Amino acid sequence: MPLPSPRSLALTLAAVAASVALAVWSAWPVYETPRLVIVAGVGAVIGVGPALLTRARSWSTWAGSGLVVAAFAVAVVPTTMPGSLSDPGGLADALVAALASVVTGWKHLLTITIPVGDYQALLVPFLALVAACTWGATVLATGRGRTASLAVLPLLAMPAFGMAFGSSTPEASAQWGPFTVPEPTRATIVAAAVAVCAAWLLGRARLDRSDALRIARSQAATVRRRGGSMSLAARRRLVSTALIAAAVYVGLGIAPATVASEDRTALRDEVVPASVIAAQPSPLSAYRSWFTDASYDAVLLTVSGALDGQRLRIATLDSYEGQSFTVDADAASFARRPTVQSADLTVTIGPAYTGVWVPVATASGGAPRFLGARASELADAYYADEDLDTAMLALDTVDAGLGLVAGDSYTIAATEDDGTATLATATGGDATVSEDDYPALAAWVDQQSVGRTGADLIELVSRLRERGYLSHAAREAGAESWIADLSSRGPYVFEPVRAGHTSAHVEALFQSLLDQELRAGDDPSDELLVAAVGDDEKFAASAAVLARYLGFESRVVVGIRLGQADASDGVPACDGTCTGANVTAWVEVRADSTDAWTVLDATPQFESTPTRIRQGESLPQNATDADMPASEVIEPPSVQGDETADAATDDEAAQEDEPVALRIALAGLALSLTLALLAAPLLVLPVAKVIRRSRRRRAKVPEVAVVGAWEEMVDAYVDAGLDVPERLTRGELADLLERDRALVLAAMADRAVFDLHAPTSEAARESWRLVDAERQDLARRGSRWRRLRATLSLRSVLRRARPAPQPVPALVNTGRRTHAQH
Amino acid sequence: MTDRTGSHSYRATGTPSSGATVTRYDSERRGLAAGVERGRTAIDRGAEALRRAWDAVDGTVSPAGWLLLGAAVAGLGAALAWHWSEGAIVAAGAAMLLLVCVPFLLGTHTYAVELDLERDRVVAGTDLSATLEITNRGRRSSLPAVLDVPVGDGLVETQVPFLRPHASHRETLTIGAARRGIISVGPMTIGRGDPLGVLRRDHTWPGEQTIYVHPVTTSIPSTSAGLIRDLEGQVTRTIVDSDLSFHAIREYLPGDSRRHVNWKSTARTGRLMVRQYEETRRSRIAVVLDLHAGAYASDDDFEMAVSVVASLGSQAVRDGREVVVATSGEIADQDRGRIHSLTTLPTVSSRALLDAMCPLESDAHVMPLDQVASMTLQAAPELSLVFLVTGAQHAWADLRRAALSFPADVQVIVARCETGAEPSLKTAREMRIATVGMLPDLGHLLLRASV
Repeated sequence: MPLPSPRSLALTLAAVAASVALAVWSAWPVYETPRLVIVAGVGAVIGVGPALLTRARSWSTWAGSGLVVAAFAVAVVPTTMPGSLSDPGGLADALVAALASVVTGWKHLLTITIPVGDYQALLVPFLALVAACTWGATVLATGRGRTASLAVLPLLAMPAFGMAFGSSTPEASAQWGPFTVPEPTRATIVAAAVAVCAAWLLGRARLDRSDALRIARSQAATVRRRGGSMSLAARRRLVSTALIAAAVYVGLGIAPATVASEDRTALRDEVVPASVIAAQPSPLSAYRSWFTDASYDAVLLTVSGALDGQRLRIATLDSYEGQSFTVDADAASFARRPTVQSADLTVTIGPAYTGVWVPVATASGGAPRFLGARASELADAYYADEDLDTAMLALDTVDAGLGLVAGDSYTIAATEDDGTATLATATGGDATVSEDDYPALAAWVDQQSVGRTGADLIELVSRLRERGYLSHAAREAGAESWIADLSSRGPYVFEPVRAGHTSAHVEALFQSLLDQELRAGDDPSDELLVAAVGDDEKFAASAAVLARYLGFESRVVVGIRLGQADASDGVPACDGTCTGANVTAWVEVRADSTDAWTVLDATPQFESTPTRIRQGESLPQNATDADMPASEVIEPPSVQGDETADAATDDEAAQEDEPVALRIALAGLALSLTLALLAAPLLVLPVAKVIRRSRRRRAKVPEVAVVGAWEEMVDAYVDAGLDVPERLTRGELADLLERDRALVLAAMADRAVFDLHAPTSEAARESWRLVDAERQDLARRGSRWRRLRATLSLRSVLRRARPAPQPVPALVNTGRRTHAQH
Repeated sequence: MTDRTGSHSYRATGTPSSGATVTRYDSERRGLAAGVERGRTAIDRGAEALRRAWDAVDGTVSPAGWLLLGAAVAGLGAALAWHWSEGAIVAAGAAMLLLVCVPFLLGTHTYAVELDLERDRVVAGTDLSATLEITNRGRRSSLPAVLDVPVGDGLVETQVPFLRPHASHRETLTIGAARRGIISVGPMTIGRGDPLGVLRRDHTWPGEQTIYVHPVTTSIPSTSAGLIRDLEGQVTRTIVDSDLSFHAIREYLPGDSRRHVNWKSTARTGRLMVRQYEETRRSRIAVVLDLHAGAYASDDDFEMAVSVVASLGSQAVRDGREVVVATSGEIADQDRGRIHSLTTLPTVSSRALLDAMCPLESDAHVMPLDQVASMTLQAAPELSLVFLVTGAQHAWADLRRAALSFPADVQVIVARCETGAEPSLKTAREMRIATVGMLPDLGHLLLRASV
């Protein structure tokens, strides 16, 4: 295929160059290095050169693409990783890394913060994209026909790379004359890309037309005057400009009013927080670690401001599959917050705090205002989920786990706690955990004999707290600090407890409570009912499962309560300086009908130790003397006869047989019904055929009955598998089939139709007798399998349902010449 | 043809009226077959309607229009899903552009257009003129428009001025026919659309006219070459003394054979009368053109070869001889060696031959000349004179092989076309080679060869 005309080729190359320039401009925020221009230029040369060569020399497409791949492999290392050129031994490694980056570099680009510069091999995806798109665009554009227009797709893909892989921070609006344009740079790039492609398409069509005009003019010897065409061309240009101006006016004027770009999302927004969260362990599982000697007194953070009644939430966990409470990374939607919260409390992170979570009082209303040296970095990496009411930092996923460090500070807004009023009046829905999974929980709830409203839930949770006993460790060693703390506030005896809050632990907790209540008897005192030992982790998990059992939505929050510390609290509130001792976990509950979550604390008490009630036996007060007369050995009676024994066994056997027989009969009935249902579709066809046959037989008019008999015989032959060609007359068909009854019946049918007098019903009966005899013959002839196939065959039905065939021209002999007659 | 299960048949037969049985055929489908048929026709109608709607849209929207449409949809999607305000801007701009271009499509044409060609067969290198007449058949005046007339590969634009009702505008077009070939003129279209070219609606007057541009021919002296006396040939006007076809009776001249004396007329007139006959001669000429592009040094050589063949063939047809003009058929690369294909051009009249020579092109995928020659011999077994027309770069050995494939009594003349060469005539044992430098040389060379 030869190259297109020079002007058309120049236009195509100009469009490709413009698209590459736009691609560099749009990808600039991702890379921000001058090397990007060099990479784009090399990529364009790699793509366009082989494409033009392929077209000029008429090579196959495979040869051209192979040349592109070879050029890419040669050029990739010097262009994108110039640093590795200085080390000749590492060239092979660099090449392998570059080729691997063609596949994996896209994902790395998404998970790394921008601008990237020429870090590692992250320029390789851009080079590959530019090379592939320019090659594809040139090959398609120099082709012929309608597929040439498809070249706009690669041309548009190049600027789209920068838009897709860029950041989602909105730009400042610009003022262009009377218009306020949001995101001016991005809008310019996108509009320019579309305009370049449209101009290329329109220009091509225009060039083709002018080429054709020139050919015609050059062939004619005379040159025709072109008077009056000047004004036509000028008018045309004027109208075109007016159209484009109208489009631009509408685009700039109307569009910004309709769309708010504050919550702009980009690809990397979806990827980054989810990958960070997926790598996090559950904070609730690590709850115990706060109460070890090492971290019990370590300062986590210091808060200043109006602290009373406030709570700092560290992490909210709502996903529980029986193992542990976690955040579901797929279901949560962490997004940036463009606005900033009001400044009610100031939090400063201490040395002992680690993790990606950001302690806030509430995550809705905007992001915290970060202070200090890392303020802008932290603000960029802040993501919050308003539904979960939790916040996190995604600083660098290359090393997940980096978050707030000592010295970071920020101001957050305070919240209002509505109390339990809304929950008390709400009713729970259907239980979301089943009784089969948690039988002890269900039995304990039944034992409490309360309803399923919110007030009942509050009552149950308070009973849970009262009957529990606080303990944070399984061994006394390493737990001295909190034991000393609790002992100083009241009499405290250490009880060991295993770690974990799986469903087995929850079940064991409720089982212990239930057993204690049952053993305690009627109307026990409160201290007697204290049985379950655990800490916030277990009790918060148990309370959450309890709420789900009653039909409420629940989630566990790990956080710190602020305000004045109370001596009777198992885990005290933090008054300014928060240490590991203040970390607690509570439950938030919500009914389906409400929007707001209600906070329920779940820390057990520590003042009454659990008592162990052992069920034992005691002798009754009035003992009865048991008579123990001497007993003789009595010989067993000898067996009289077999009948009695058999009668006994027969009775038993008969009794057993009855249910067995019944079961067999039922099973057989069920089996036959199933078989009948399965076979029902197959029975449709034979039943339909029987109906058709009886309808034909019982036709009132004898002539129709006779013709119907012939049709029935033909259908029987078709079903039996004989070759019955179409479009033959009855006589011809009978001759072809060579069956006696067919011949007789064909003659009868022809006579019935064409005779002067109509046939009698006797003739009809005779014809149907023939049909029946013939069908019996056919049935006897073949094997059983054949008969079955004939019964179930669709061929006779389909024959009738086929569309009427076109008339075939018949050859007519007239004299010497033969010609076709239509 | 039918399957008669309906009740129509009953009414048609059995009732003799005027002694004749009337039999009418009808076809009726009942039950499942009828339902299937109805379903099928309904689906076909639906599909047909969809296809027509799609064709209408596809013909109106240019690729740029599709691009704008796609940009509008994608921009709207991006704006709604990801809150990209630039998507909204582009979508609004593209949609506005499309919307603003739609009013340019409205309106109909009430023209009647006729194109009359002066002649439809011309010789290469001349121009021919055509008259284009455009009449406004409507009741309202029509605005100016541009009429496109495709002529071969090119396009001729005609400005149609403002026309009152029933007024007409006449214009003369000149169509240049510089090269041999077939020029198709039409169909004529008037396009309505916006000046950018985004949307366009074409009103077409279907119908193409074809102009045959014949190769240049030169006159060749009419000779008696290749005419062999053969009793199975055709009767000519030459009068001879002994042959098959009786012509007239004349007086006896000394030297006549006494076998041909007609005794009856001799008895009647009293003088000796002899019979005269018309001569029957046979001559079958074959002209073979080599289409292989490698045999010719340039395109002009090939044109000259075509002109040579055209001249020989049309002269032979005008002389009333039987002539076979043969070339190789088109053979694809993968079939070379397996398939032999020969194309014989019609020689019913000189015009038919020249028409068939218009589209001939030299090609690389053709049979070599010797195979063409042997196939010609198979197609026309009894030849008296063969012309092999080829170019200057054909190898001598191949030429000899081609000439040797004909039997000894056939005269073979090879015409080598080389523009600018010195015209010459060489005689070899099996063939004569005439080198033609310019077309008029042909006549002189044949005269010299006394062929």
